[in-house]
Amino acid sequence: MPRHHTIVQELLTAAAAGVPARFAVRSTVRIGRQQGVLIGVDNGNDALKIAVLRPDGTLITRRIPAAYRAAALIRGGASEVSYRVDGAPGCWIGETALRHDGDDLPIGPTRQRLTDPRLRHLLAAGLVEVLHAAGYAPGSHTLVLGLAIPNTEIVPVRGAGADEGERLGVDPETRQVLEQHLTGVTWSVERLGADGDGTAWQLRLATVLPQAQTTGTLVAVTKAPTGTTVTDVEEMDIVDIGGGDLQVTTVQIQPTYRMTTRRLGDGTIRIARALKEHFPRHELTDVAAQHALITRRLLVSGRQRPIDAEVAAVLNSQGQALIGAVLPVLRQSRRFVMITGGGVILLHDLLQPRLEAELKRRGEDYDFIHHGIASEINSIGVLFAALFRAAAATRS
Amino acid sequence: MRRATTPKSLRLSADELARFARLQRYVPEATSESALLKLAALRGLALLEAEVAGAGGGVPPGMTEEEVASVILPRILTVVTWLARRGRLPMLGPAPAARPELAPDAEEHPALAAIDPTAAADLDGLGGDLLGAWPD
Repeated sequence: MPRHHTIVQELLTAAAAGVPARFAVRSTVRIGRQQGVLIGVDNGNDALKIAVLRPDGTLITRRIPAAYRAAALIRGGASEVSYRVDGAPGCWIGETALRHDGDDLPIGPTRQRLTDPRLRHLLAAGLVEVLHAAGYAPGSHTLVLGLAIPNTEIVPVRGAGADEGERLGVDPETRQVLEQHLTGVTWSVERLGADGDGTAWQLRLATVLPQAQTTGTLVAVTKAPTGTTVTDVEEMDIVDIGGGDLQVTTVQIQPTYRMTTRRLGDGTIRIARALKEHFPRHELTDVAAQHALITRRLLVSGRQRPIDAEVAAVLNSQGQALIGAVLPVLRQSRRFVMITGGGVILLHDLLQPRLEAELKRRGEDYDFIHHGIASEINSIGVLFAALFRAAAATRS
Repeated sequence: MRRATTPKSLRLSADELARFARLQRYVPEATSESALLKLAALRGLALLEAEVAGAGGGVPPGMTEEEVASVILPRILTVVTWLARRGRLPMLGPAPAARPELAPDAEEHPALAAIDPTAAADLDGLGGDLLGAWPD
């Protein structure tokens, strides 16, 4: 019998070899007469993370800072990639928007974020960008979206049938917003490339599979790409250090999956806001500060300036405070602890000595999602979760 | 209907034969090279008959205009979506959703693995929902 590797193990093996990860699973599922492309989306407060498989199984991911700016006419030199969604004026997103003093997008619960048309445009443009990067041609595409939503939006709900009991499901308000703004929607997107060439895309969101964002990490660390469970851990605490939220999710894996979540406080946004105070004249937006934290660079007086000292200062204050909030979780010894989220990129150098001081052994008592994939792991996991659910729906 | 056939010779260039050869795997009902050539000839014949009918040249003996249209319609419909996706039929409006167009070098993984049938059930306890069209 072949030995199975988890999705994370396969990602790390590929990264170590310097090649993109490639999985022997289908990239599409059948929806009526169409083939729907499976996509994983983690619409984080600080950045949109998207994952898709090429038909040959190669995984393509994109992390796009949640910044938006109406595109201006470039009057000289090379243009920049812009998008028009459903005939609205052109926009820049992500790092391009940040270079042009782009705006923050709303953070908070899904029902508040998705009602902002700019966020929907970011999502539509981001989907086009990842499809383009994966080599899909412009034109019409049917999509099946595995969507990571905040864990707190998964709540006990009662089934529709008279004999159905309570189960975990999507919060009714979130569900209503998803059905109104995503499910069954068709977006027409024009992508204007840096070379000035335009392409037209039509994206139909045939199916949306909202899942708790931590499900993404859980799937990636406990399951093989085929869905087989590959772990002897029975209970796990997943510490998700996200841009907006710091959450701990306790998951029972054996004999059946079950989870509970609690929010410990703000995520890396508290570090980013502290960084803003070091540059009071810059009027940094939250998303620009989050981006500066990751890149450790800031455009000052027309020059990219390293800001390692300022980042180190805020990590030693707010970063340590954030770790302090997590320590009680790390100190318990009943459950394995997995640390995930984009915050791992910032904090892994600080976390490691704190954990060693607690006499915990990496791999035995706890583990990090490798910082090279921590930001995108939830989008990858919900992509595979959508694949597993679609396969089950096909069989039934 | 007469079923007798009459051999007719046809000269094709090597390039034209190569074009036919490429299509052979996509037309499984044509079980031989000659069957494929005949199928292509008959489809071309039907198209020519429709063009002639459309230009006022009448229809083949024993057929009505409706029958000529019925023969050609399914052949035209198979390519309408493809044309619309390329913006060649602007009068029809936006192109309908279609099979994803893939990069030419993006062939399916050669050794697709089956998905574990218990995988989705594991996830049920985590509370995800499925909104919209069900995969089938």
